[in-house]
Amino acid sequence: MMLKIFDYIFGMFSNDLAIDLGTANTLVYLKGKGVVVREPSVVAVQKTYGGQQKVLAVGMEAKKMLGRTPGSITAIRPMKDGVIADFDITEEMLRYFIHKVHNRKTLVRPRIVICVPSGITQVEKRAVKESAESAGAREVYLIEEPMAAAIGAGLPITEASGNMIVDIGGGTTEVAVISLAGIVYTKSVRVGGDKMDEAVVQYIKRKYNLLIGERMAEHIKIEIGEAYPGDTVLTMEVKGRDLVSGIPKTTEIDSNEIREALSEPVNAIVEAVRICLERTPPELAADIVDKGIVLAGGGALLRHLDLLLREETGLPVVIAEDPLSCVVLGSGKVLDELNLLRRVAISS
Amino acid sequence: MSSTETDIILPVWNRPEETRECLAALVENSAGCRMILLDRGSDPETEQILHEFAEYLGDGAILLRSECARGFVETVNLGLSRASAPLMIALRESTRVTTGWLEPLREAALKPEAGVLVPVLEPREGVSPQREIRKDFQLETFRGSFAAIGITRLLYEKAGGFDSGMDGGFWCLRDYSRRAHAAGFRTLRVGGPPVLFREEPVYGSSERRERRRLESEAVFRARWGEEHAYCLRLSRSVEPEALSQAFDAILAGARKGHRFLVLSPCAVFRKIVRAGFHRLHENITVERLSRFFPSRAVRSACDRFRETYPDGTLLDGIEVLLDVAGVKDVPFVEMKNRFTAAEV
Repeated sequence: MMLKIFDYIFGMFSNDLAIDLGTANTLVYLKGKGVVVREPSVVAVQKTYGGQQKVLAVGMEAKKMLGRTPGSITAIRPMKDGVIADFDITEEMLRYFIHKVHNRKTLVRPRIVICVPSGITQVEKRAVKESAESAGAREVYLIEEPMAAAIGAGLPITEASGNMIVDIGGGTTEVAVISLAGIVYTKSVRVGGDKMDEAVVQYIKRKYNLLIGERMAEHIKIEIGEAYPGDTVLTMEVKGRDLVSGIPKTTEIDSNEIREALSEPVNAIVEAVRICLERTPPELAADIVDKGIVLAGGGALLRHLDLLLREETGLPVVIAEDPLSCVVLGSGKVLDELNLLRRVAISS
Repeated sequence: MSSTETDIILPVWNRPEETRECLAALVENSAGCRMILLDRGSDPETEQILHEFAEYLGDGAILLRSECARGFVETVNLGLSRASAPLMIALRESTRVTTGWLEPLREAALKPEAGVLVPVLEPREGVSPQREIRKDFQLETFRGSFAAIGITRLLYEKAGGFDSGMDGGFWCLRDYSRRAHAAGFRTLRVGGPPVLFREEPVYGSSERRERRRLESEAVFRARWGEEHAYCLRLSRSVEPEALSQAFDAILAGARKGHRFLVLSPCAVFRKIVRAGFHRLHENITVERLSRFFPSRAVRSACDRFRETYPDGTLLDGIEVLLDVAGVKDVPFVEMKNRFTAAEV
C-alpha cells in the first residue's frame, strides 16, 4: 500500500516515456517533448576480477568502442533478433536511458510504453516488463512494434479498413495487417539491418578476400546499398584487411555488387510480405490493394526497396515520413491517448 | 438418423485459443459426427491445433489446408462439396456448442421439407440469458446465420452452395433461403439448447462494405423481386375457412420475403392461436387488438408500421388492400395470387 503511495507521488514528478527498444537503436520519446534519445543499443562492460560486470558506457559512446576494445572490456548488444539476449545489460541500458531523460538518478517512477516484436513469447514479454520495472518504471505497457509503427506512420488503425505495415528493424522485419485497432495478421522474420550487414561482410569476404567490420558493412549498406537497380551505379572505396596477405587493403565496389550481396535478406523480406498478403482475409486484402503498403523502420531507407516491393506485389508502396522514428512516435502518441493505449497494449 | 450422418464444417483462420475451445466443445457435444476442418491459411499455432484434433479424431475428421486466406463463404462451399452426410452443419470458430445442441437439428432434418436449419443462437457475452427453447419448437424464418447453419443434403444437391460473390452475410444468407424455397425447402429455426455465438469483427473499409452490400442487395432483388411489408386488419366476422385461406396466402408471401403485421380482434386471435397461425413464419407478426379501444389500437399499430416500413402497404380486412398513400385499392385475391405464384 505504502509502495503504491510512493509510486503515485514519485510518478507525479516523472514524465511518461515511450521506448523503442530496438536491436540496432533505442529511441526514447518523452511525453510532451518528443524524441529525446536516439542512440545505438550498445553497452560497453568491463569484467572485474570478481567476475562481475561493470557498465562503462551506453549508447553512442559504447558503439564507438565496438571492435576496438581491450580484452577486459566488451561492447555488448543486449538485444538480438528483436528480443532481449542479456537481461541484466538490458536493464542497465534502460535505467541509463530513463535517468538520462530525467536528468537525475533518484525518485524517478515513470509510466513506460515499450515496443516489442509481435512474435515474442510470454516469457520474453515478462522479461521486458520486469527489466523495465527493475529499471524504475511505475507502470509498463507493451505494444507490438508493427502497431506502434502504424500509429507512428499515421495509418487509421482504429477503422475497419485494412492497413499493411512493413517495419524493417535491425533484428527483425515485421509485416502486419492492422484493422479495428488490432493486428489481424502478422509475420515476423528474423531478418533486418543486421542480417544485411552480415550479408555485405560475407559477400566482400567471398569476392575480394577482404575482411571488413560490422560498422564498415553498415556504412556500405547506407551509402551504396540498394534493393532494385536504379538509374545510376554508385561506387565506394572499402577498407579492410586482406585475408591472404593479412595487411590492410582498399578496394572499390559498386551498388550492383551490394544489391547482389543483399539479395538474400531482401528476398526474405519480400517473401514475408507475399505470405502476409496471401494470408490476409480477402476483405482486408482489397483495402491494401487500394491503399498500398507502408514501409517503416531503418530498413525502409534501403534504396529502391519500395520499387522492388511494388514490382513483386503489384501494389502501391510508400515509405513512412520518418521511418526511423515511426515506432517510437507511435508509442508516444498512445501515451497521450490512454484509451487507445489500453486498446492496443498487449497482456504479458 | 444415426450419429454418423452429420458432417460439421468448420472453417478456421487463426485465433488459436477460440479454435481450440470451439473444437473441444464440438468433440464433447457432437459425438460421432465427422468434422471437416478447413484451414484458411492460418498461422503455425492454429495449424498445429487443427493437426492435433484431426489426429485425435482419426477417421472422424478431414483436415484441408489452403495456403491462401480464402473468404469464409468460399471455404464453407468447399466444405459442403467435401461433405457427404445427409445433414451438414457449418460453424464459425467463435461459436460454442452446448450439450444436446445437435439432436433437435437432426430431428428437424428428418422432415422432407427441411432445407436450412438454424439452431437457437445466444450471444456468448451480453445481457441475454442462456435459456433452452423447447426442443419441438420450430418456426420458419427468412435466413440462417453463419454462426451455425445446418443444410440438408437434399437441398444442397438441388440448390448447391452459397453465392460467394455476395456480401458473405445478410444478403448471402437470404439468397440461400430463397433458393431453398424455390427448390421446395424451408428455412427452419429449431428449438433446443442454445448455441453460443460471438459477433464477428467486420473487416474492410466502410465504403467497400457498403458498395458490396448494395451490389448484393441489387443482385438479390434482381433474382427474387421486391419485398414489401403489409399491415392487415382482420375483420371480427372472418370465417374459419377464410382465415385459413388468408394465412395460407400470407405464409406464401412471407416465404417470399414479404413481411406481415396482422392486426386481429380478440375473438379472432384466439382462433389464430388455436390453429397455430401466430407462429408460422418469422416474417408474420400477429398482434391482438385491445378489446375496448380497437380503433385506437389499430391507429397506433398502423403508425408504428408506417414508421418501421415507410414503403409498407396497409391492408384493411382480408377483402381489400389499401395502398399506403391511398392511391389505389387492390383486391386481396390479386395479392393472394401474387404471393402464391410459383418462383422460377
